[in-house]
Amino acid sequence: MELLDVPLPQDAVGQPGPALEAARRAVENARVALEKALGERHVAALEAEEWLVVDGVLSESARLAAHPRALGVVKSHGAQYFEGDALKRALTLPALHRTSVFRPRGRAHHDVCSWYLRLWPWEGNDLLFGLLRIEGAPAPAVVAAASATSAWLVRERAPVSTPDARWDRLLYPIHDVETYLRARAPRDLLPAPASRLPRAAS
Amino acid sequence: MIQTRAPEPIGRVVATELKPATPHQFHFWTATETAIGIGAIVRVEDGGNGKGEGGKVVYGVVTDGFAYSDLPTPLHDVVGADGDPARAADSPTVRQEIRLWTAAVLRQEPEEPLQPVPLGRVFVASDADVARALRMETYLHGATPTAIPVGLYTSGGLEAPVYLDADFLLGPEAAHLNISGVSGLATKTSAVEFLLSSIFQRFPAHKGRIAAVCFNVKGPDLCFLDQPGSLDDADRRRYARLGLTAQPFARVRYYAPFKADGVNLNTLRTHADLVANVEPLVWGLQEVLDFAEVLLNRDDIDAKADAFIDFLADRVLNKAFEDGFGGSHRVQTFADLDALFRSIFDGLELAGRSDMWRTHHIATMRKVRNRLSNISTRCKGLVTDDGPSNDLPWGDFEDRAVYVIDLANVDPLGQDLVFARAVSKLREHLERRDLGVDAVVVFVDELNKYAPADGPDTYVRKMLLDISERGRYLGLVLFGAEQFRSQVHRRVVGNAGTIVYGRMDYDELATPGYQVLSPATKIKLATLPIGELMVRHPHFTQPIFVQFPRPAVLRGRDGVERFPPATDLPFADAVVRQLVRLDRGIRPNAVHDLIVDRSPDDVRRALAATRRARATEPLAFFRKALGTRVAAAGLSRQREPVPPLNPISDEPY
Repeated sequence: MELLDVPLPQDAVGQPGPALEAARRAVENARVALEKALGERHVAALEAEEWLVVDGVLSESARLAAHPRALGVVKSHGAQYFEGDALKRALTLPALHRTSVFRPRGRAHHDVCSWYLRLWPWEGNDLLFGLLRIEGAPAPAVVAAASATSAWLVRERAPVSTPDARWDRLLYPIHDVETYLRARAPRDLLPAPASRLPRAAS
Repeated sequence: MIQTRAPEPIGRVVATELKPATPHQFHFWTATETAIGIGAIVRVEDGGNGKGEGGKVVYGVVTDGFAYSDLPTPLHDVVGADGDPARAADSPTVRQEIRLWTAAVLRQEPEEPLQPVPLGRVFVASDADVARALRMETYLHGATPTAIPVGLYTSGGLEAPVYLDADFLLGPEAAHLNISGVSGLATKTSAVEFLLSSIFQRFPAHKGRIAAVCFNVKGPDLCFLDQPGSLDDADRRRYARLGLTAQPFARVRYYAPFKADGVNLNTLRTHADLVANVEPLVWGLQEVLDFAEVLLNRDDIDAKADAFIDFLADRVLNKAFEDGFGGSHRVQTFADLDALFRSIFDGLELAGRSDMWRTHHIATMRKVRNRLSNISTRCKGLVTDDGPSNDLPWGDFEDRAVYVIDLANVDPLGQDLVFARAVSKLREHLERRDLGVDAVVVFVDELNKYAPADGPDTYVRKMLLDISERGRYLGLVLFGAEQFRSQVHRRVVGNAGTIVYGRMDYDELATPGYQVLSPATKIKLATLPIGELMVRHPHFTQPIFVQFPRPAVLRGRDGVERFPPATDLPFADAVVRQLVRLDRGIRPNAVHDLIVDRSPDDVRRALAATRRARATEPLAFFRKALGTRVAAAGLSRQREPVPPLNPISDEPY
């Protein structure tokens, strides 16, 4: 465990709300840094036939973004890379289809190639249902293998990651890791699902 | 110095609100790949260093198992595979799965205070753990050990001997053993044969002498107990692990009635090489009259019939008796008794008197005559009309001897009679302590027939109840076997200190008597392989599964093939064979010459006398017993058989 000094604005000193928010951000940044370091360590140790699938973007790390067998699986779509018909085409992608490979521009720190992949039919749900964005190294081999890589990821639909609410986009191995980490996390770090008062057994 | 590695835990106790640990039950998880299974014995340690130091130690037996994955509902698996079962197996990632086990507590150390099982580490039980878990150390070691091997507890490569306590198997603390299981899987009889062998080899010296009486009521199951059977290496290893010698019974005596001809034995053990230790079982009027109550069915049970039978036994049998019509009788045989009855009935008819004779109504007398005639007709061969009886060696029972009474082909009424009389005689001699042994194991198969849970309250059932409830004080121990335990009188099975289960029928397991068993234990019972049993014993707080080796005796079916029964011989040849058994030097023609033109009854009587006398020169004794040769015309003793008045006991009165 490491203690950090988290600077607070002058007017927030003594107020628990801003202090907690600042602490949360600090922990989040530390987690991102840890994940990045962990990913870089593992990608450096990959054997010839091994791949590394990262939960989130690759473009935060130069090493990950450049590795030909590292993949980033992005579930949240806060950034938008298309407009007009292209956007419509990406968001109404049928199940088990992918878009062509593109170069995402904007917040990316390091250059990657990317494509959208639909795992589950969106009809009857929202447009983002079952939609993943995949990131890989901007290399011709990665682009050429996009269909094969997508087929492999599609096979990861089973086992389904229920009961997680994001099961339509959450690959089961990532869900498994989350379950493990959640079981290992101190109890106070997890949101209490209900009242913390003890219940009598029925 | 040899360094031994501390045992690795294989699981850990968990307790949740829905599945808490209690003083009698706990739950633990293991890796998916584990040697643990239903019936496995485990040790739980609360802290300490893996050697049980410093904390509570709990022993338990696994009674149920669960496999969990993180799948909330089956529907999600269907969705994941797009509804195609073939694609379900293609998942590149294997879903997480755990094994959760439920165990029943066998023992806690220290015993007090009795508390819920701690959330400790779980280890596979060792030999020593099994002994402690089953509380065997109290009778396995010590100044006067009383341990009788019953089988091997096996789990995860461990084979630990399991012992029963002779004080609780054969009395006086508790006694009796009941074994149930479906037929045809060679479990019940085999288990009893093995256990008898184990008892004979390990019966504690300080408890005295012991013998067994087995009633063979079907097939050739018990007909070859003195012949070695085939064993494989696994069986021999099990015998060695149990510290027993794989050998057939050294002292076995067989008793079988004759067939209706009175000379051919009514048993499957008639092969020339084996028949030497088969004794005929022949009873006369005296033996039958003592147990006449067995012959009376529910409709017959009345004080009048009882009184008349008592009158016959007390005032008539073996005494000079005047019938009141000028006749003098000395009743010793069925023929004498029938003569008395005829004399009385004729006398009453000629005198034109009432239907009463010495306060007994003629209808009562006819009923008793009917029943007694009935037994001599239906069990001809067991009951001799007018010959001497031949019985078990009451008073001369040998230590570690098995006495097999073969009743497989005897009329059910005769089976009841033999059973009732044999057990009563055992009890009588054990009460007087003059049987020759201190304890007798009585093995009865088809217990549901002799002590059914419902049906008429027969003499045999009352006697079995009596043995069950009081036999342990006498050393009279009942080993009962049946297919359906639920169909045996609850007091008979309830008084059995040791209960053994072979493979059970599903319907039987659904009966209330098995509600205490977990569903997994029931499934295991319903699929038990040959040679595996579940044992309940007063020292074991939970049932334990054990494997036992095949008994080292020839199986009935194999025995019949190896020693095919001799074919029935004509009367004269059968007499020759009986005499040759006594003296192999006897020439058949000499016997033929002696018995030609003689009445079969005379020959049977002479033969019985010769057999009983065990003379050094049997042929000479037989000749003497047969008496002077008389012409055929002079054979005036040929008695007309008395037809039963009513062969079925539904005569209205």
